[in-house]
Amino acid sequence: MPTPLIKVEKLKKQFENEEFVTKILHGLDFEINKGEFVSIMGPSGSGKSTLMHILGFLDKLTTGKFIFEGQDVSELEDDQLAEMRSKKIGFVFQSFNLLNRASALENVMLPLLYTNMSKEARIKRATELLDSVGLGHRLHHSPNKLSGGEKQRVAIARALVNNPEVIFADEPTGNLDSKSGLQVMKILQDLNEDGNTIILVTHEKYTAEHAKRIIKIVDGLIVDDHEVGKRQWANTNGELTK
Amino acid sequence: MGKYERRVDEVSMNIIENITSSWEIISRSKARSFLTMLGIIIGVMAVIIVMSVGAGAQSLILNQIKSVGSNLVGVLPGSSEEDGPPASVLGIVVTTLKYDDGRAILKKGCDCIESLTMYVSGNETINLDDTNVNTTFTGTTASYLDVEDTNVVEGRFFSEDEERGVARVVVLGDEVREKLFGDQDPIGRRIRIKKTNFSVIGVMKKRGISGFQNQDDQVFVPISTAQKLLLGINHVNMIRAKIDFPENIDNAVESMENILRDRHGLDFGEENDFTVRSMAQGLDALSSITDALKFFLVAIASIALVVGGFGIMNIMLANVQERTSEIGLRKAVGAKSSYIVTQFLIESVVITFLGGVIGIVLGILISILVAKIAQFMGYKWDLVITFGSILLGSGVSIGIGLIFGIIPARRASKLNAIEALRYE
Repeated sequence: MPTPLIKVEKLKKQFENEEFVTKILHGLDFEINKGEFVSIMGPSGSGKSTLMHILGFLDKLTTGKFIFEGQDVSELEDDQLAEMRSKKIGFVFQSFNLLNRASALENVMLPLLYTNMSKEARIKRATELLDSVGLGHRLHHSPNKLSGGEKQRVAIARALVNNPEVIFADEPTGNLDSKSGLQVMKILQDLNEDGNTIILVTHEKYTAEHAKRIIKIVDGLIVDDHEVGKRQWANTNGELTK
Repeated sequence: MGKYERRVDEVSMNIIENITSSWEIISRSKARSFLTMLGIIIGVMAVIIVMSVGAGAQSLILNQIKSVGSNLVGVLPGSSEEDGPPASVLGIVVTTLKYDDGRAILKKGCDCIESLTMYVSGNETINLDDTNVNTTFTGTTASYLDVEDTNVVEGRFFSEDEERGVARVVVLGDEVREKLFGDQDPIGRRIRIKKTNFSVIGVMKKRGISGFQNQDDQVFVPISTAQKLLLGINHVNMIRAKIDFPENIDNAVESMENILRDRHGLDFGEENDFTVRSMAQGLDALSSITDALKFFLVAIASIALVVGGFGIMNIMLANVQERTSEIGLRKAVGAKSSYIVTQFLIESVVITFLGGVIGIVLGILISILVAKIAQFMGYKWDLVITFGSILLGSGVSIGIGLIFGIIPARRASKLNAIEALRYE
């Protein structure tokens, strides 16, 4: 049995201030293996984004255990978390989070700024990735001049640039029309086919069904965890195929 | 590669990338960047100008003094504190110094006194037919030329006999000659000073401004003539002695003091009723005054730099606010807090350094302009731009970037990545 890429045990998260304690996650247990495509699905306020932040090393858990590649990473310091994000994680956000003053190429190169890679190597790597998402002809365009779908493809290229162990996609189709959304899902599915581990966070059942497995969260608890029987498949034209 | 070496490598690469990126940010919004750095530009420019103009003015003042001669010792009537000026300088008439005091110093003083002259002066209108010129008349001795190291260009200066014999002869300064006679030959002509006829016997060499006085806008008459016919006094305003070598100045001062105390009948412990000052002492005192003045002006100019620094901090804080989402993104893709601090610090340093460079260039240009104008107006103004002031300007601007950039940079680094990512 291979070591799971991600394993959480009794994971709890609560936010505290002087007046209130808000409990978000109430003790989650699950594993995700390398190469999986998992959707974390739940309604607004269910705690799915908080879970993604913890799994993506953006936030710390309150109690429980988080094991990544066999190592207990529950109590890492801020700089260690930053290093994990730099080396192991790629993020795709709903609102793209691209720097408007930088070109598509510079946006994709951004995560490599915090590694020890030479500028030439960074340009080469970012160019290859923009090529692979079909934006080889848009390298020097600023995000303002790109469509929503193109922006999200730049964001996917940026998430891939440091060869991450896991790609987190937080509502990646939320700001896109259905055609562009399907094109983005197609890229994520292709990446998974190539062996990348993808964790998709969404509130839409239909989007979640592009993954192989769905973990459903309601009110901070896992209420369902199942393989997807009938997956949704998208093609490069942004059309559904069954 | 060791961990430490890799870290150094990463940091240096980070700094270069950050400088490039800061430059791009600055050049993208030129007007805003210029306004941001305006405080620093004005501050650094003011410091450079004040240092340069201050040094120029100092050199002008010291040159003026030196042009009179640094191996001269002056005696002024009236007592004075160690460092303070004698009363006569402050415009109080003191009559303790007499013509015979000067003669006695020359006769009995140390051998190091090469020559000695005395002065009285006043202002009077000089008439030549219908032409009137208001000017200074100086009553002095025949040895004036030797002590002041000057000469006549036409005619002659008056003799010792004329000096003592109340002779009605006059030597004209170059400007007075020009005003009264134009192209005509003045020698042998008669002019009137205070209703008394004087015979013009010579014209002085052109000397320009020296010792804070326009040496060409005056006329010279024998001291006895000035005392008796023009002023009605029997004291002198100043005695000036020329000493052979600078190292003998102390001896000269001592011997002059002894002679004068003896002549004035001063008892032991009684205060001098005159003041003996060497030019070197005067130079020292003046240097320290002008240094203090320069320091004071630089301190005033530095206030502009501090104000500029707060301007930078204000803009950088707004910048952090505006770029919250970018900071969140950078953190999400792996930037440690130290990288964010470095990035924002470098941005503020690049802005202030650039402001400093522009300020230095403008400061130098304005200093050159001031020097040129002063030189054009006939002052012996040295253009002084020291490497130190340029270094100070650049150093201070970088320092301000670091000091006033640290608060915004730390604020940026402490932003919560998740909240920052959501910031619209």
